[in-house]
Amino acid sequence: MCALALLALIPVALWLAQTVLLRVAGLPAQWQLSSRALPRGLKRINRAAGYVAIAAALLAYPLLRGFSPLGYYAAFFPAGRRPVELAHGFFAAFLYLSLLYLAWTVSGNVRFEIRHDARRLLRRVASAPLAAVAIALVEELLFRAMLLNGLLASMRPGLALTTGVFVFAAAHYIRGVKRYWTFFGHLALGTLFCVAFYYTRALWLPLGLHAAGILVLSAARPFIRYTGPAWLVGASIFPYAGAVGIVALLALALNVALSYGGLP
Amino acid sequence: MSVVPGPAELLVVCDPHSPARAAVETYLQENGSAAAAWYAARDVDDVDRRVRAGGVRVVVFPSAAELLDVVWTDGIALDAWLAAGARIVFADTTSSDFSAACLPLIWTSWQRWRRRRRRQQVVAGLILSAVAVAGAFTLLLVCR
Repeated sequence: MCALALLALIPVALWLAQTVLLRVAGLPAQWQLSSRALPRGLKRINRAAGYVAIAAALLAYPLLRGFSPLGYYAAFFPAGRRPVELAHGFFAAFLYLSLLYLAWTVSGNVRFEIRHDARRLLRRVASAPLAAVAIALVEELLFRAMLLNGLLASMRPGLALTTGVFVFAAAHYIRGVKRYWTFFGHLALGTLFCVAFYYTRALWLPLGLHAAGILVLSAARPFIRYTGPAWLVGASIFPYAGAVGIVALLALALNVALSYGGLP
Repeated sequence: MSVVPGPAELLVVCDPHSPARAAVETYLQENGSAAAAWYAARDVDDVDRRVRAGGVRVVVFPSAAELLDVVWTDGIALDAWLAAGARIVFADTTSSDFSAACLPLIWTSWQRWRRRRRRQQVVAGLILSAVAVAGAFTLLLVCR
């Protein structure tokens, strides 16, 4: 519950930072979390405030439970043969996404198209690996090592997993977004990562799955255009939000459960 | 000489490095204004958004071929443009025989073709996606 409370404080901190920055810019306060109205320089400060709020929550949680932050999070990266799970997760997500993109390209639901000029293209592709690892690492520490692990210690596994999945999905919508129909895709994504964490009690596997997913989506994005219906194949960086994507995520979650001894 | 509107109402869809740029600039000068908002063909999504939002009176394409290219690739919703009252003009004089009155007809035919194609896309997409998911699932099951 302590983890849930700390997570709930993050949007509050973000809203306070946003309100202060809007006042500095001479603009009225707004309920929705969105930096769109802020001038460029203040947008950077707003983003930095977000990072500080997340880092503060990550540090506060182990301290409140009487652990050192480093020791607490290091326990989720066991040594020995366990790091192989990272490669396993990476390969599994890569395999699913590659085969789906191939199927969609052949069936005309996705079209190859270079969408940016050479410089922008290079920047996007070059930044994809680092961004994938950084985003996946922060989200896994926050939603699995902190939240789900805390929930599993205080409630029945079914309820803990359901709560973990819903909070993970909902967290992607605290800021103003273009699309809300992607929520079910985020639920399926949360199910995969939570199942991976539940069966391994480590971050290697969910981190590999998560990082590979972000890497493939962000590296493919500048080269593809979705031409099929969104209900089928999703859109933009949300191929997992279409019907096929959701089925694929649940199939991958079943793969994970079967591979890590969750089911007979 | 016709009066061309200001940059907020006049958009040009032409790649800055395209050989057609000179023809478009000449067209704009000949028609009373060189002030227009320029967009590369790859940014036609932005043009589409602006036209649909209203307030855009004229969109200049280098030629009819460039317009049809963005229609075929789903870059714009031509019916929404026509409904918004945006006039489409071509800088290339060889496109002058291409009547703007043909556009609704072309659009209707294109939509009919797209509907047929869409059905094929969905069926093929479902079958191949099922194969892809089953393939990935089986491979991971065998390799566990």
